[in-house]
Amino acid sequence: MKKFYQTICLSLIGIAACAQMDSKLKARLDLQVKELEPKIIEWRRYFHEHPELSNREVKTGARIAEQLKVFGLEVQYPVAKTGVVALLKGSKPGPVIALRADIDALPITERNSLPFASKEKVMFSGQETGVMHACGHDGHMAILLAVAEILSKNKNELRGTVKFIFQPAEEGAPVSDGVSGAELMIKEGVLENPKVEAIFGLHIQSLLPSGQLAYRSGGLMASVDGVDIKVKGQGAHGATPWDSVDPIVISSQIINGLQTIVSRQTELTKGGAVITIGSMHAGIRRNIIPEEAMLEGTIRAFDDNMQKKIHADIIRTATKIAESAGGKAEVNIQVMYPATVNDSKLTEQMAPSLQRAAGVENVKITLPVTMAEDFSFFQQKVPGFFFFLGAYPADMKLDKQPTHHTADFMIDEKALTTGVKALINLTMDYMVMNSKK
Amino acid sequence: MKKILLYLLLLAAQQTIAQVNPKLQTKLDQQAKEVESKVIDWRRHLHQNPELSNRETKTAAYIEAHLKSLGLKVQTGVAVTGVVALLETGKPGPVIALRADMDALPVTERNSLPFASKVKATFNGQETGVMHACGHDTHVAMLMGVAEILSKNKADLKGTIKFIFQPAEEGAPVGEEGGASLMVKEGVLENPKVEVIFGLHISSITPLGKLTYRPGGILAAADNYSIKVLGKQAHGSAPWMSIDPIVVSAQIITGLQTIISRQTELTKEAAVITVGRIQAGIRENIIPEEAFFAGTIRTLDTAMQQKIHDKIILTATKIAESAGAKAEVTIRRGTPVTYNDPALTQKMAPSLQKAAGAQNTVVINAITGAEDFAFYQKKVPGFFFFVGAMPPDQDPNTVPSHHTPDFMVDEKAFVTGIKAMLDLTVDYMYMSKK
Repeated sequence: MKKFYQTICLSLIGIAACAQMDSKLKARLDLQVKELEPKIIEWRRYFHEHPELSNREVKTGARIAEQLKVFGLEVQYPVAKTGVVALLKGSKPGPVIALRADIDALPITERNSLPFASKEKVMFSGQETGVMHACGHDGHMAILLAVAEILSKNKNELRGTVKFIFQPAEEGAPVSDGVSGAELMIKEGVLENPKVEAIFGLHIQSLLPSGQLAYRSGGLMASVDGVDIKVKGQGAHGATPWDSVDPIVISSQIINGLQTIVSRQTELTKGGAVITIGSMHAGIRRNIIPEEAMLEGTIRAFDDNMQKKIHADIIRTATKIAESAGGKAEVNIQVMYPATVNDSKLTEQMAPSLQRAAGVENVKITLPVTMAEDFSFFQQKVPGFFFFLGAYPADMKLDKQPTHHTADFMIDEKALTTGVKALINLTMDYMVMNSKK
Repeated sequence: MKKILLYLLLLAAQQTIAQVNPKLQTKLDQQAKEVESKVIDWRRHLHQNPELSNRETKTAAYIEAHLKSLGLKVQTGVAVTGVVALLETGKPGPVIALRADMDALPVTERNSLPFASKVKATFNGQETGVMHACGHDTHVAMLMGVAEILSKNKADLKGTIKFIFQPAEEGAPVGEEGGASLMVKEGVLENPKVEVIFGLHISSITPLGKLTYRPGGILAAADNYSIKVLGKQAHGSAPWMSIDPIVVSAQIITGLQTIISRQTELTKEAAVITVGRIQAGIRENIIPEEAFFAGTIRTLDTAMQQKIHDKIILTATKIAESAGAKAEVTIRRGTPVTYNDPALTQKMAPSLQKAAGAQNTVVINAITGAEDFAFYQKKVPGFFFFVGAMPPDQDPNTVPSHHTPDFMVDEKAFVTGIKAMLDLTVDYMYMSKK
């Protein structure tokens, strides 16, 4: 009963709070999006054909900067190595809203017959590889350029300022580059001057039907951290294990022990969690018990406290199990991306804008995904809202649909206008709701 | 080079034995044969009247009567029901102890022998048959025979022989002391001070006529351990509220395996850690507060024994800590390793060969069972061996093992056992420089 009242209240408040841009303006903007569609697709194809790896988005950044200048925006370039930031000041006073697109591609050789398929080749980790926009960042850039063009044209209707952030290295830069991506952009002040009040971002999702939008309040995408465990034992001949402290057997016990952190020690109703050991290296020859073993893994969580607790649990599990067999474990946790957590108030406030952009029936609440996204760094500083844009082509079968980060990755370009409308609606509605009258 | 030296030493040992008076030897061999039918009768009487550990009162009286009839100085009620007799030759020489254990087991005999046991008793609150299912009846009967022969030949012997009939080898009832450790405590190895001790065990799975032995650890030390894992209780649906002692126990049990597989020098001696009992929880959907498991540790070397104890403590406590739990480890030392003094074994092996024939004397692998003869060996050099008693028509793959209702021995083995004890005693006596 209590729950029922609560639901009604929330919906009422939601609707009441949900002031929005007037419907005439919305219709005009929708039309402009429709008209711009061929250009959006052209931009996306250009970026798709010219992909560049993380922190190497030189041509991409230059192309974006050039285009934004054409719209008459105040452009700052380069930011955080190859990023672009542009400022659009509306004619009326209001909040500063940031819209973010990521711009980097992946070391994957494209496998399809698209006329604009990537033919780029590059050296990556000492290996020659193709380069491909296999995660859809090409679409993100095209969408955000379109939003910039349309909002620039309608500057007089804007109540506040829009900051367009084109961010490099979302996929993670080479270690030698140091801090990169969203984290570096923040460090370089992208959320200041003027101070950003809210940030919106989207990600194309090749497994969600084209035209749909999906979101979730709270933890949407996982935190990602790396864990390295060096197990130090004592080497010996493989025939005399009693002379050794066997780091391979200890490692296997540690890996088993790590499973119990998730299965027994983590409050899974709060959020899922994952500890994956993705690499295990030890030894050189079958009859030598090596001195050390090296485990590398990834940790996913949806909650800052859970993330911290899992880190502590991993350290305790590994060191004590190693000690139990007379060995030692050195645990090194690299804190990478925090969880992408949608501010619950902001999400509640903005969800209706998504419904207006795509139609009520096309907006879904998604389960959390264990992939990570460095948009989370922005969300740690200011309330942010991140959502998925469905782009799986209508003529494909979902069970055959290639996933992100694969050579066959493919999106339906028809989805791009839905993404543009979603960001425009979020921006305009937020301004209406949050500007002082 | 070393090996050759060893070989020379062995030759020297054999020469020493050859010095035993051949006349005496012939007489002993003959008397062993003659006493056989009596020993079989005694054994059948004992078999039909088995008594549990520390309750061997009728058995003790039966032994006492025989020993007194031989004119020996007899002491009874040693270590509850034990009987000790002294054969003093009056001539200088070593004090040699010969030991037989007396107790039977709570097993209901299952065979059609005319002298099968029909005795019933209550054990741990449960009614059960009682049976000499480990052959201690044969040990007593053989040692009674040995006492008779040695008494007869007192004039040809020197030094002193102490016959030890020991109760409760299988373990005294809960809350009672008993067996070899209590006998030692009550001074059985003193007054006169024993220099060496010999003991045997019948073996239903060793071919008839064989004698088997091993230098060093022949039977394992048996220690008990118990581990209490202290966790935190919670509803079974919310493991994150708990520290789950069951999962921690499972990890510890797996960890204990690696002590043997990775951390123990198995070429030196074998070792065993068994978890025999595990207990935790009361209901499917409650994660209990603690778990308890217990087991037995078998080792054949005292240094390894200590090392394994230490490693069990380390493994259990640290694995428990790895999951935020605590483990309390209790290790109770039980029977030590039955350790055949290597020098003594080397010296006495030829006596076994003389008793059974060289081809019938076999060096065996260690056995992970335990035997409280070990307590005597901790104090004085001792030698323990097996007497094969598997009937020749038995299939070695299906022969019933010790401690089972079908346990059976071939009585023809007794002569070999008696001869072995006689030869060990007399050879040792005459090799002694005293």
